[in-house]
Amino acid sequence: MKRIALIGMPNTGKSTLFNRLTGASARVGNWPGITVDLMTAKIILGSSIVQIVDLPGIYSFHGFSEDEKVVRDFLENNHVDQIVIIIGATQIDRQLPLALQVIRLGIPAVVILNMEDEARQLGISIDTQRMGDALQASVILASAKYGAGFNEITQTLIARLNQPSTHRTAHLDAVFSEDHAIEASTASILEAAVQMPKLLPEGITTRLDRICLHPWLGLPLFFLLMFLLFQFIFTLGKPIQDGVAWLLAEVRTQGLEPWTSDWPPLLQGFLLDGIYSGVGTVAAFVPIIILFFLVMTLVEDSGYLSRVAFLMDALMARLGMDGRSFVMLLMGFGCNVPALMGTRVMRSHSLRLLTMLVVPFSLCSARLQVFLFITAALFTIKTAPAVLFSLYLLSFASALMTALLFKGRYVSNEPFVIELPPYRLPTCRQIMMRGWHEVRHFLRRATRFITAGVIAVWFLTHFPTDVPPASAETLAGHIMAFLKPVLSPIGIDAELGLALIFGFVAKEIVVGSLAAIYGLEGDALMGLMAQKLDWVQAYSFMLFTLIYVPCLSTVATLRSESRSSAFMWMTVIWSLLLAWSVCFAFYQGARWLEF
Amino acid sequence: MLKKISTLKPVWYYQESLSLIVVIVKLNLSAIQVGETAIIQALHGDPALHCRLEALGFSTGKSVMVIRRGRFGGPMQVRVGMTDVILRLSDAARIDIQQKPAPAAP
Repeated sequence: MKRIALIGMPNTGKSTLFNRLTGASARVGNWPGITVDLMTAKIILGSSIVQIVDLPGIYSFHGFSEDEKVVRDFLENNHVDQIVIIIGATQIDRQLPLALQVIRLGIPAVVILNMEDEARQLGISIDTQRMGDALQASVILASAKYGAGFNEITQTLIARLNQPSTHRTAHLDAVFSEDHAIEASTASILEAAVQMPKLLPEGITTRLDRICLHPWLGLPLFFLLMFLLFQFIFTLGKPIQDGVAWLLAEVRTQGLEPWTSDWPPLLQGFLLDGIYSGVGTVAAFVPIIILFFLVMTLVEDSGYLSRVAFLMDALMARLGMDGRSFVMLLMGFGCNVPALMGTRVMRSHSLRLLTMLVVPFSLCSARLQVFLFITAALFTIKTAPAVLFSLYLLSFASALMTALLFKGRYVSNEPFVIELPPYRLPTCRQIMMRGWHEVRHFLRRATRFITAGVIAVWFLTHFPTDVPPASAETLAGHIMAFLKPVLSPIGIDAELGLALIFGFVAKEIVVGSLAAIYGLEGDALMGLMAQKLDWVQAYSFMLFTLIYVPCLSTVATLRSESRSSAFMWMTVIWSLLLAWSVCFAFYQGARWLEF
Repeated sequence: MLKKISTLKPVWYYQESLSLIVVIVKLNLSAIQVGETAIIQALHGDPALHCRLEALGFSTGKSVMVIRRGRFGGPMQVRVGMTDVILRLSDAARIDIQQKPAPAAP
């Protein structure tokens, strides 16, 4: 099978181009280094199947970051039939050297000048014919966002792949010694084929930045924006969520219960109270999670995150990190795993470790589910948003405090030099693809982790079968009796404690396991919890859920990204210690104040 | 009114035959005010920083315009060619520059 590799700098729309070529949904982000794993896809070009590989965005072959090493290693160790170089047409003056470097590797290359729409608006004109002659490669103007030029791209690729190739894998050493030659050719090619305006016209980006990066308003505006987005998700998502919950309950009472009524009670209990309640209670939160990811995509792809890095760098520098660490914290709000992998753009190992130590405190979407459920059960509709917002603030506080405590151990002097891309409005297609990607991811987790977790909880709470479910004589009861001395000082009872144990695997299981433990779902479960718990206990439970180990996937990612089991264990132990101490202080303090 | 130029490091030379002390102050990017333009004279710093700066379009002879400076000693935003870059003052101090006179008002 023939193989095509995509290569280009960050912020050139490389992932968008990959998505358009393959129809798959890689994450696209307007932030240097979003594509950290190698995404591949197989497509049909002409009459043959071709594999397309999306390499991480790099600035040059000489670079020292993890991503640049990944690209070098990939090209040295894998055969590539055709290389596609993506260049942001608006920045052709500084991106052309990378194209020249790649062409000198000896692999047949096609150069795509992406974002032709933006280049046209800025008054940049490029003579592709002349440039192609000088580069000895096909040069195509295109827009990955709107699809312009894609016919030409596929036609060119088909024609090129049909030619017999003679080269072998790339030899990178040769490129390193040719810097001066590359500089000279860049200048002559730009001279011959590109016309640029002397001064950039004052665009929308400049005007927006005057507000978003305002010396006094910038930060308050950021927090206001976050709060509004969060309100938006909550107000729009709640009715949809209620609808789904109602639908699931109807299916149970109208369909499943009559249908299974003459089955053995244990099997019926297992299927309905175990699997259906558990998975169903979790599924009710899918709409809010989808909305959450759609909004996160919009923020990520807009280019605003780089502005946030600018605004927060002064504070983060005092905590031993930089603006990018804060952006990773924000990304962690979606899911901690890609945020941890995003730290690969940092070169200094200490800085990476410190950032990876704080990212797991980000209130991810899985934890959000737990909090939405508990706040809906125990707080009024008026206080619920404030309670949730307080948890977001505490999530930041735990992260910042951890950084402050550990910054002495992880000292770095990594330069902070990043590109500030223009604001871009992602198309509906981009956002929808990403939303679909997240739903698929969630459903995959649902079928594996959540179902398995919920089944395990049901067994623990229903065996041995001759005692009342979830009572002290069941397996779960024995586990809880063992943990009672640790959990009762922080106000967490047996049932909640069991849910926390399963939360180690994934936070998505917590709500589902509560449903399995109590054998109830939806409104009935919320009603029972409101009876059994007061708000202090509930808040303490949420605090613990917020701070302790996010999930097994995060722990595994910490291990693989830091390449150190010791570091992984340290983060696990530290988060448990911090969670317990914070809950202890909160619970005992609240009780002492007689709440 | 005085401008703060504490980021500049003077280098002292002593010319023995003439008994002359010469102080050379090299201007670096971190001292440039908002709206001013400068021409890059040299890039210092470790190879990694050097390489990243070059990839972003910084090279000897190019002009850099300072767009804004962050508060509380935060980073500065500069424009090189068609690219906007944010960088910390400590990294900007690694870029030697020559100040360009402001263009006359039309």
